[in-house]
Amino acid sequence: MPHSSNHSTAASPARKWIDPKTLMAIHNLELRARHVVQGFWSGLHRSPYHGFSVEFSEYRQYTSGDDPRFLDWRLYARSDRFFIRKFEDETNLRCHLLVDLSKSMTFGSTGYAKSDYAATLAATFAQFLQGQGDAVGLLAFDQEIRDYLPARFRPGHLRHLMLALEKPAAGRSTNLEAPLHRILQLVRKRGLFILISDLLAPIETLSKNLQSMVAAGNEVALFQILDPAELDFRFEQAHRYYDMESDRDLYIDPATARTSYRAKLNQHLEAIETACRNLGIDYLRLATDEPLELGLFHFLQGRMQRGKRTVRRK
Amino acid sequence: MSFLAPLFLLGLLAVGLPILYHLVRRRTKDRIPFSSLMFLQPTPPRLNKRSRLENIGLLLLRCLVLILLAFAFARPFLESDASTTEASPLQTQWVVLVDRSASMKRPGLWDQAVDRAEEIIARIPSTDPLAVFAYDQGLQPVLSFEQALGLSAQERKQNAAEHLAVMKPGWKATFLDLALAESAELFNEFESSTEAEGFHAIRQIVVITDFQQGSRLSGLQGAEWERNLAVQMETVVPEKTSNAGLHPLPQIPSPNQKPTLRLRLTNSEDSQQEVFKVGIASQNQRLDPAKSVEVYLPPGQNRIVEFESETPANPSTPVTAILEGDDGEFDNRAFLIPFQSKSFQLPYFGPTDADRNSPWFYLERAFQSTSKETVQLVPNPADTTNMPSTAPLSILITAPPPDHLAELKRRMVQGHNALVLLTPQTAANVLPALLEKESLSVTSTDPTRPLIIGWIDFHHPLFTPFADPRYSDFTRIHFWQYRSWSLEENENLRVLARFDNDQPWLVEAAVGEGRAWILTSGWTADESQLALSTKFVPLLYSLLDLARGTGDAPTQLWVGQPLPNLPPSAGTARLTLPNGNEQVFSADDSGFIPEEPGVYQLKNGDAETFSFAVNLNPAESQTATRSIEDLDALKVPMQSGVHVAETGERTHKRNTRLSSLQQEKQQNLWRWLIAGACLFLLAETFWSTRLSRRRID
Repeated sequence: MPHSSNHSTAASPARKWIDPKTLMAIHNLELRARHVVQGFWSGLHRSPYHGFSVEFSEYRQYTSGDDPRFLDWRLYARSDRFFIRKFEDETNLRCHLLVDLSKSMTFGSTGYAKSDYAATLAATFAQFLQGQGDAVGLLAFDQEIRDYLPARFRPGHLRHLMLALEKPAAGRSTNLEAPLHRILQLVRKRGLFILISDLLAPIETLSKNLQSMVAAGNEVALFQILDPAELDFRFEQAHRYYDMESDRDLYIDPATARTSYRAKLNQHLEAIETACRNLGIDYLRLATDEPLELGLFHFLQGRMQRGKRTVRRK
Repeated sequence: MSFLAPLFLLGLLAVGLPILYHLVRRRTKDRIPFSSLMFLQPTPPRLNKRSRLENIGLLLLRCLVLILLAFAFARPFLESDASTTEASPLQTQWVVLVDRSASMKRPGLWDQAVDRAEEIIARIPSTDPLAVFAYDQGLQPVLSFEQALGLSAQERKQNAAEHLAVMKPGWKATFLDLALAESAELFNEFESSTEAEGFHAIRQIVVITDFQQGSRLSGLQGAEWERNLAVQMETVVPEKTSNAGLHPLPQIPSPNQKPTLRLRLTNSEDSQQEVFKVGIASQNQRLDPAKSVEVYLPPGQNRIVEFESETPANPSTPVTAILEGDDGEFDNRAFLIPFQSKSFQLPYFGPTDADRNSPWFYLERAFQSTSKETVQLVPNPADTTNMPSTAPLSILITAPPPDHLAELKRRMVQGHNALVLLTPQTAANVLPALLEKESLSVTSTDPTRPLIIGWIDFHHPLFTPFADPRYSDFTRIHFWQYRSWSLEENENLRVLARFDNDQPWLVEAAVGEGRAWILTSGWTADESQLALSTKFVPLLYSLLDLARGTGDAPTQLWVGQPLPNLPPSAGTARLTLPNGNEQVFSADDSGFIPEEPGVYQLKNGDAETFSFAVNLNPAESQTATRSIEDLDALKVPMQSGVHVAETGERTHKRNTRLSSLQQEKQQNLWRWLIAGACLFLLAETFWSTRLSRRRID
């Protein structure tokens, strides 16, 4: 099941990664993201998986001025000629971050909201991808599109992204349909879409729009952010619980409601997983008390498995 | 404390409801935010270990309200010092009614009824108030409550028996509804007169009757009965139940001159006879075989029998019809007054010209002969002997000769009447004599505009037939000439109608026993349109009826119906009873109600003699016994069987129950409990409203 846990496979060196609570204590989003990225790299050093295999698309003859690091010595041994590996990174990757900043994302039982976690994750991706030389755009939404920044690779673009991500979450409800539909209209060229949301909305709308995105030739990665209290409804007292988006309230006794809540939630999560699996979408569920590096790690792992260029060391 | 309805105390169990409510109610002030409720269902309220009572004060108020209501419905009362085991005994009050209507004349019925009455009276305890009444169309006392007080049971029985032995069934109908209603009222009068202590005593009405179909019960529809009153029916049945009855029908004029006698023959439903003989009685009051017919009539049916009587010397001679072949003799005779066409001769003094300007022209045509009566005008009789002595009315247009006038006055003093047209001539020669005035000043007036009748005394019998709004419009009659007359109204002189200028048109003057009606304007075309109006002929006939004295009074009555025209409005009237006795009535006497069938003859002053045929009410011939369900259907509180003497234990139980009822009714504690519940409810409403407001804030 593509959700992170502290007992993950040997691929994730989770014990060395930053505690999210500590991370969230950093006020500056850009600084937070940088910490995650750097922490991730240093984690990679200790990982037996350092030195990812690099996928290349073709050879070209060496010309004066090329970086000799990319000489393929095996081919030289075979052909006695110098050839440079042409990487896929020479093909421009457009990545769009679709970040849900609706009211439901402001819930948080860990001392910080899901929206802070999601924004940090999005900023981390932005930082990482930009560091790889990829163009990154942003679509922040609640019940409608709040901010749209097209995918650019310009100086200062990352700053704009961070500023947009720092805006507080608001909105009356979560509407996935409108932004997903809109982004397809705005973005004509194929690219990578990373959707970060709690996905607490009917699954039918989501799968239909994801299907459209995939059918258009885009690569989609889905990160579902949930609070630990949402995962197991760990409340104790019977209270009137109100919906943060609709303000509707119900009298709930957690002792009696917990079991059915979990069952329904699991049913919802399974439906999302199934839909993603059927569409070939990379899906990861992150609890807000889990390290953000896990998200980055899973993202890269997923791309590796697909045979995509994952990372280029600088 | 005791309770009248202790079962209502089960309502105390309802106190558990507010307690439960206070335990399970959720008073959470806090609202906890959650990202989405899409996976959550509301938790129903339930009791758990952590449930606890909140707002104890409010809970107590609510519980108190329910407790007070339960107690109020249970009707509590505090038992008085007098021990309930020895509740003061309450009496049963008795009224025994004995039917003495005509149907009880059947053989053996009255004796049975008297025996039954004696038996019942003997069984009633002497401590119970008792009254005995006979009834037909009203109650007649046999033994009143006051008379029965202090007598022993045996004495009461003897006393009642003596009275009943003297009393026999009468000829009247059975008004059982009236008898029951008046009996119920007797109890109230008795209690109020004796200031009887204690709560309503038990009231029993025992009715000893043949309870025939003809008993009138219509008055019991919708009647309300007191809770402690019960009616017992003691039905007496004759040995032979067959009964046929003979009753007269309204007599009608026949096309040929021979009067037709119409009778109705009825046969009761339980009759066993079907063949009867009906005929006219001869002089010896027996059925004349030559004037009888045999009639076949099955039980439960009736038939109209007609006879064409011969024309006797006096066609108005009453006729007796007889029925033979029936066991019940009481209704086998019927008295009939054959229809007699009346004839009047009215003296007329005035011109008899045949032209339209003569009053005679219209009078002659107004009085037409019909099959009911013939009115003949006798113009200007030569001498007084030609003035018909039985004429009810004379018409004076001009002054009659002095001797005629004197004769007229003499007759008027004795009750004759006259219609006088006021003219200078009659004012000079007629009216002073009649009204005993020296002279009368009369002025002929031609008004500048035609006058109409502005006011009419519709209360006067002359105008009573016109009182109906359909006939009361006299305004279409125009008058263009009249005589104005200065007169003083007094008891002998009365204006019955006026013109719209307030001048009198028709004046009534008393002349001895008779009356003179004086018209100030004539009916010919030169004076008015009266003769051409629709009111002329009815007005003349109304005058004639008033002059005749009896008008169209019915001649066939039932026993118990008052005779018309009694007491006389003026003078004396002589009534001849069927047994030949005479009774004289004056205006101050009350009327007369015949007690037996037969022919009654009435002579009012000098007026002709009127005959009235009084018969048995046909309902009395319906002798088949009614069902007790008829009384149940009218919601009369019936008591089956004879519960004259209850056992001591039953009496005690009843007395105890009524004593408790009495105490509770005196204390009325339930009202205080209801008031307290209302107060607590108000307090609870106020408190809970305050609490909810506080919560919102």
